[in-house]
Amino acid sequence: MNFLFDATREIAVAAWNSLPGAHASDPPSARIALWITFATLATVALLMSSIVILHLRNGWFERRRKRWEVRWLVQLLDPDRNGALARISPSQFMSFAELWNHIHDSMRGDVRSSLVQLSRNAGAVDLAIARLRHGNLGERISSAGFLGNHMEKSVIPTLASLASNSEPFLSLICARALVQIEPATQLPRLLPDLLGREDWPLPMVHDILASVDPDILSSHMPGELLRWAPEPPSRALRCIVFLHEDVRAALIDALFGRTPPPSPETEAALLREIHDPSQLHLVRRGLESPHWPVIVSALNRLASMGSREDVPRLQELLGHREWWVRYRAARALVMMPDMKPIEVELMATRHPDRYGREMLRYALAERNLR
Amino acid sequence: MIHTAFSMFATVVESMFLVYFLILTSVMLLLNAVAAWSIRHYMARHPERNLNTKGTFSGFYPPISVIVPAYNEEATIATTIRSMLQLNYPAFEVIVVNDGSKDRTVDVAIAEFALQPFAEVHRNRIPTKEIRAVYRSVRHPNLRFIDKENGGKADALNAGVNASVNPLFCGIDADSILQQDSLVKCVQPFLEDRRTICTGGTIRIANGCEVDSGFLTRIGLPRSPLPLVQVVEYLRAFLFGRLGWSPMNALLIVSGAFGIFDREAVVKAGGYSTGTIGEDMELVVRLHRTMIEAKRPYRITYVPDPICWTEAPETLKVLANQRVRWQRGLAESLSRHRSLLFKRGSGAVGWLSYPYLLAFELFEPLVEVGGLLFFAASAWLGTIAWAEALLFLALVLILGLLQTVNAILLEEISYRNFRTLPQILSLVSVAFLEAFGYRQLNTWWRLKGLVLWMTKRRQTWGDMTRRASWSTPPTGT
Repeated sequence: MNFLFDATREIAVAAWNSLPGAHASDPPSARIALWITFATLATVALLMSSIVILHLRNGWFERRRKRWEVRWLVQLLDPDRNGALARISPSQFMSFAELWNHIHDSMRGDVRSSLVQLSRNAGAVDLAIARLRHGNLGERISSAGFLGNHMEKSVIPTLASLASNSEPFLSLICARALVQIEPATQLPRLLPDLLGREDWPLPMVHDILASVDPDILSSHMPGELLRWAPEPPSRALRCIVFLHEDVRAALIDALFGRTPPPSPETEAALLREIHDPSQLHLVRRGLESPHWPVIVSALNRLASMGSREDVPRLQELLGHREWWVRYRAARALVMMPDMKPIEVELMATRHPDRYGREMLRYALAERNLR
Repeated sequence: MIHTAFSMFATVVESMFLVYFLILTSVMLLLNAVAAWSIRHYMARHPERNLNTKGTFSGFYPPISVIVPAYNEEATIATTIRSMLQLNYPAFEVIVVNDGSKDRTVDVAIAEFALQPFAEVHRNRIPTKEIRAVYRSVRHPNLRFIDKENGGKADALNAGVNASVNPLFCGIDADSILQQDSLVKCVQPFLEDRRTICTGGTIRIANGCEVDSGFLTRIGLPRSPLPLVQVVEYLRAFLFGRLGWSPMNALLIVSGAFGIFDREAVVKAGGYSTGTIGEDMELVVRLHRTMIEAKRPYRITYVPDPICWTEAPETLKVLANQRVRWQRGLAESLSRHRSLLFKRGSGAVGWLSYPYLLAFELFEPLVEVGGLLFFAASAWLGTIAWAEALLFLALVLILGLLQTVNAILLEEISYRNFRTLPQILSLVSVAFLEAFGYRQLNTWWRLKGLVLWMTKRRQTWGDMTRRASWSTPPTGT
């Protein structure tokens, strides 16, 4: 070690002395600067070699992965005919799981069980269990999806603990896997999180709920929503679309009938979910709300459920101070099944309010583009 | 006597240069370290980027209005709009704002996308020049085209903000080439942190790449040296400059070529400023200031994924114009919001990034030219210590190289856009060569920008002829 140090010092001294105008008696600061220059140069050389090594290594990994994928693809695309897979090694697992998940998601019917059997025989499930328990974030996510698709019951406790993890993507994939494996027992346990966790993107939650039998959902979700105090969040109300129609209508009535009455946000969210003509009175009541988002929700529903008796109120709302109310009122008039185009065009020329006339023309122009 | 006086003066100046250099180097090394940590953290936090989960989970994406200001863009407008319409995003509209073009931009767009005049009613929450007409496409329901009087890029963007109905908007240059997942990637910070009001993505140079129907199909390097040097510059600026400031919430620049903004935050801040030449930076600095003064929590985030590709100037004249403009824009933005400097409660913006930009970006050309003059004077008077001077120059050169090599390493760790070893080696050699000639030219242009700002002389955007060598010519032209 000392030899290396002495050699470097000699090189530095020689380099310094070779500089024009340099003297052996120069201050130590100049020599320190020279050392810094050497150190920086060495760092640059180190970084450059790292780039080259990394580049070669990554290229080699990629070529190897492609070779594997070509081999697996032939067998996975026709699992019944192409025989057993060779045993999957730990280094192959991540590439295999990603390819397998992708193919599994794009196939339907009995072929899926053949795919499951194929990967089980190749030992991939054991590798997935190990990665789910001890892998990094990416490995856990892939493994959770993989094991969910395999309906692997032995990992339910691990998945349940990861489903309450603070990492949104991992926890949601684990929740989906649990629902895939045992919907009847796992859904009631997961419902509070599915309906309430704000870091779980709603369309992903919808994907999970859409895969569950509506009977199971209809027997558990209304109770869960009614238990929420003081009221369920509006994102949870957007999930009631998966309930049986009669259950949904009863739930909406129950939530509207609670004391204290629902907040404007909840009222707007509930109005959005009304599809039953017997609840039209709730929609019409929404038009009288002092809160414009509630009126907008009611107008959206009236566009498909309203009738001629709603026209006078809609005409009044064309002069509302809020742009969105005027716009939605105009759209409701244009889209209502009972209204003839000529009637709305006439209205657009005769309406007493200038803003109302403009908005009707806007809505008509929009309709003409469709 | 003169000799002795100059020697004393030289000692003082040398010490000042040394202190300046030491601070600059320390901050840059620190930013490099933060950038390396950030990119590792980002890759670890987003494993889904590399997992095959597409299609299964579309995610909850807020609707976005993509605003494309266009001025004399008849050569590229059709390709640009077509690429915008093919973006992979669940809910978005494209608003093209023609800012009084003198060429056939409007005619090309009308013919290409079957645009029809449309009686649109929208709120003018930000004052703009008069709107001549609004068009909608009968083929693409999410495409609107606004034709307005010429008022500059900022005015056109404001008209787009007024017309947008979505909570977020994305300002894009008409010559930008996007990736299909650009919006999906850039919107992530809005999903992860509700305080986010603005995100900016990485911009790369498109010269030398292959583009088909407005989308990038193959990444390559330009052959001519000028754009090649800019590839290295952009890599350095984005992969360590912005990535370093973002975790501290001290990002002061979001490129006008691609950025997503919270519409309400922008409207409350007054929209884009029409009185400045660097409206993109000015808006971001103003957003910082507005939020700090209102004491509202907020985040302005940088997304390291390369999501937008842009055409770099290929001639010295156009490049000079661009750099002068950038420097002037920087000066205008910083001087307008000087109250942010060391303001109480301004956090890393007022205490770190603003002073850094002021000392090491805005006034750096003065220091550099001053240093060269001092060097020349010392040589002339014979007081120069050649050994120290050469050493110092070597150190500056190597530190510059270190930054570039570090940026290339970060690129190799993360996105690996440059697939072949010769590409990487040519980037490293360009990084070495740029110190001889290009760097000095750049300093000169920046100094010119600074002088123009100080003397309050007007500067226009200048003409940049779009070569658009990759784009297929629009039909109907």
